Formats: sequence, C-alpha cells, structure tokens
Amino acid sequence: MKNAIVIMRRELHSYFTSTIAYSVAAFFLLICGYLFFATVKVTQEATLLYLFHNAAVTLLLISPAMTMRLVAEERRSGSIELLMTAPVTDTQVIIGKYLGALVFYASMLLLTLQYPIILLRLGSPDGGPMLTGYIGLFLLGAAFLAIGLVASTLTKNQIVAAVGAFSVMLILWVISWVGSTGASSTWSEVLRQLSLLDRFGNFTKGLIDSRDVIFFLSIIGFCLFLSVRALGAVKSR
Amino acid sequence: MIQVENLTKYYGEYAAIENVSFAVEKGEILGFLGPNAAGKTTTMRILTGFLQPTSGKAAVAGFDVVSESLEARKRIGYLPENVPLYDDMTPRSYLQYAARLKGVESRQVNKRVEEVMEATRITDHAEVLISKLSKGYRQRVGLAQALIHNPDVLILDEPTVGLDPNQIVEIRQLIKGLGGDRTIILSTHILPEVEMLCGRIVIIHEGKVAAMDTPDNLALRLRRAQQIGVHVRGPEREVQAKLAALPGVLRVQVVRAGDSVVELLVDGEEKHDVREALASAIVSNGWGLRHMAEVGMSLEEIFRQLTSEEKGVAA
Repeated sequence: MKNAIVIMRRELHSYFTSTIAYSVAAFFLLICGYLFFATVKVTQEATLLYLFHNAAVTLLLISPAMTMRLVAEERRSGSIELLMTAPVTDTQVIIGKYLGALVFYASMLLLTLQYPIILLRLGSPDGGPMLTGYIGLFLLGAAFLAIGLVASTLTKNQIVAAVGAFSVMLILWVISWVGSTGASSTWSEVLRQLSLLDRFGNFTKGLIDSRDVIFFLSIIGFCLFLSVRALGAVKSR
Repeated sequence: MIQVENLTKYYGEYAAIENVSFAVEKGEILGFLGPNAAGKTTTMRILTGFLQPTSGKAAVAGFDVVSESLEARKRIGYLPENVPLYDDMTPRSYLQYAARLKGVESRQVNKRVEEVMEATRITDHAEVLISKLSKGYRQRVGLAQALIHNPDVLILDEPTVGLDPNQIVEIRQLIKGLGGDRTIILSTHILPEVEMLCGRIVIIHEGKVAAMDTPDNLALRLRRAQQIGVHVRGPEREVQAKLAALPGVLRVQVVRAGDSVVELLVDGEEKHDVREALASAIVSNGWGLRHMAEVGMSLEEIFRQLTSEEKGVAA
C-alpha cells in the first residue's frame, strides 16, 4: 500500500500542475454552477435531482480527459521504464494511478458541495436524496475513471485513450435504450441491468440498493484487474 | 554478481537476442559494445525486469530477474537510454519520488537526495523544472535517479548519447568515480568510451555475443597478422619490391612517398616476426632505415572486424 500511496502522490502532483486538469475542473464547476442556478430558478424547487443528472452527463464528457494521461503518457515519454523497473508490483502501480485520479475527482466533487449548502440555508430540501445522490455521483465517477484507466493502459496515445474510454462509457450509458423500445425480453433485461444511467438514477431518487453499489464496485474491480493485466502485457510483448 | 545464461528474446518472429550468456563479477565495469539494434537495450531491459525473456535465465545478486524480480530490482539502478523523467517536476521532487518508489526509508529520503545531487553535481539546478533542463543535466538527473537507493548494480544504457563533448567527458568521469564496490554494465557504440571505462568488454552483434574479453586481450586475440610501420630513405619502387619478396611478408603498402623517404606499412604473417629480416634487407641494400615500429590494432578495427560480415579478409 505504501508504494501505491507514493505513486498516487506523484499522480496528484501531476494533476495539480497540469493545465488539462485545471481546465477540466473549471469546466465541470462552471457547468454545475450554471445548471444549479438555471434549474433552481426555473423550477423554484429545493432539489438537486436535475443537477445530479446533468452533472453525470458532464462527467461522461470530461472524465476521459482526466484519465487519458495516466499510463499512456508514461508509455509515450518512456518514464514508464522507471516505474516498471522500480521494486513495485504492477498492481501497486495501477492502484496508485487509480487513487490519484479518484482523489482528484473527489476534490472536484467537494467543491460542488456549496450547492446543497446553499439549498439548506435558503430552503428546506430533503437531505436524503442529496446524500444518496452524492454517493451515486461519486460511484459513477469512480467507475468512469476505472474505465478510462484501462483505456489509458492499452495505448501510448492519449487521444486514443480518451476516445476509447468515452466510447465504452457512452455505450454503457445508453445500453438500456435497446431494451426500452421493444417488449421486454431476456436480452433487454440483461442490457438494462448493465446501464450506468439506470443504476445512477436510483441513487438520485434517494435509493441505495446494494445491487447498484455492487454493480459499480464490480465495474471498478474488473477494470482495475484488466489494467493490471494490460500493464503486465507491456513486459512480455 | 550478474549471471546471464542463454538469454533469448523474440519479438514475434524476429530474434532481438539469441543465446546471450555472460557473467559479471562484483566491482567490475563491463562494457556492452555493439552497433545500433544489436540487442544491447533488450538485454538490459530483461536484466532490469522491464521485459520478459522468451527463454534463458538471468540473475542479479543471486535473484532471478523473472521469478524474484522485485528483489533483483531493489539491487539495480537503471538509466535507460531514454531518460525516464517527468517534465512537470523539479530534480529535487523527482528524486524524492524516485527514492520513495525504490523503498528508501522516509527519514533517509532527503539525505539521499542531497547526496546524489551532490555526486552528480545538479544541486544548483535542484529547483529548476526538468522540462527546462539541458540534455546534459537531464542525463545527470537520470543518473542520480539510478543511484538514489544505493544499488549494488548499475545498468547504464548509452549514458553519453546525444551529449556534447564536454558533457561526455563529465559523465564519463562521473561513471568512473562510481565504480569500486559497484558492479556496472554500460552499453555504448562508442569505442573510446569502453576502452576508457571498462575492464571487460562484451561485443554483441545481431543479437549474439561476438566476443568477450579485456580490451587488451581482445586486441591480442584479434591480431591475425603483424603490421609494421617502416620509414626508409631509398627509391620507392625498389624498396617496396625488395621488402615484399622477403619470406613471411604478406604485403607492403606505400603510405606516403616523400622526396627521399618512403613510408611503408608491412603486413607480416602471424607468429613470424619479420622486423629483423626487414632491417637487414634495408641495410644490406644501402638504404637508410629511419623508423620501424609495430602498429597495434585499435579497438575500432577489432570492432569493425568482429561486426563486419566479411571475416578473414585481412590478408
């Protein structure tokens, strides 16, 4: 774990000195701020329901930019040779990289806490859905970052990593649409179970279903496993 | 300290190295010499755990580089040809990171960083962003990184490539100073470098070990024929013809024909010292013998002989 923390700290250093990370964070916060203002003004409701959904879509668009650099850039610049010849395991490298991205994301999310605070000060919102919504948003982002990490491990090219990650996320986002058009069959039911959108929707309604939590955690676990294997494959190529 | 046995690495169908075997003793500086794409980097990458061999074995400090990779890596300092730096860090923060990554104790980190910066003379640039450093400084930061955990073994892949002459001299002196207790493998395609630094040379060509010996022995072993430089005061054609006719002489080349003095290069047969025969022939013909000396073969020529396809064309 100590080694993973060392790698995480370097990753965070990299995030907080890079223009990409700052512009991504600025973009996210700007959109969230605008949407919060707009939805509260129009609906006159003290709820974050709309903000959560819009933030999730924004996240879908920007999270590839947060992860594309992670391993791809090290492979391109050759600095991966330091990482992979140091006495650390591939798993520690991947965990460290992932934690770095996760902490950056969490700190970005932390800055949006002003909106529930504003609502609590000025109205009387239902605190439950706000809390579960944040848990859902965190898990959703964590899953996005894990998918992005796999993509970044598979290539030397940051653009390819970003596009790859975005494609997978988008497909998982809209996968339930296939099922919702026709009559319910086994297939559409399976696809619906895989949908990130549906899973996330439950959280915003104030629902924490252990199946949803396990779903997100499995995606994360599976992606980290794939990343470790992909990194190992660099050695035996 | 380092044992390599029948190491083979295939990239698809292409064999980057084939049956490479050698051993390095503790404290030795081994030169790894070969043209580009000979398999030097591949061998080093296998030793450092960055690549897995297709077959064969390698061990560093008694630890197998595949099955006990982490233990082996703890004992290796590695400077890849492409120096693995992060442009968004300063040398100090980079070295602190490298120290922690390589398991230097937290309390020792800053002390070690100061020590290696001192040793590689980068202290005055400790706070400059790495992206702003010159090639020479980058190389030194890379070397500092390799030294940070005080490893028993140093593996340096082309440490002087791309540097200007002054920087090359500095890095060489630095490497020379690192020897002693440490075992060093150094790859290069520059001959004077290995002659200057290394006690032993492995010449690698097309993925195979072509020769392995001390620089002196290599020269001795490869001297197929004796070569003698002679300056004679006398008529050029006649001198050349007379000397070429002597027993044991293979060939006489005129290097330079001056007003009265001819400079010649005489090839003699192996194990057949022709110097005395040459001297008496010159004197008995009434010419003046100005100079005679054995011309040693430089490593450069050895290298060319070893790595050129046409072997045995010397005569």
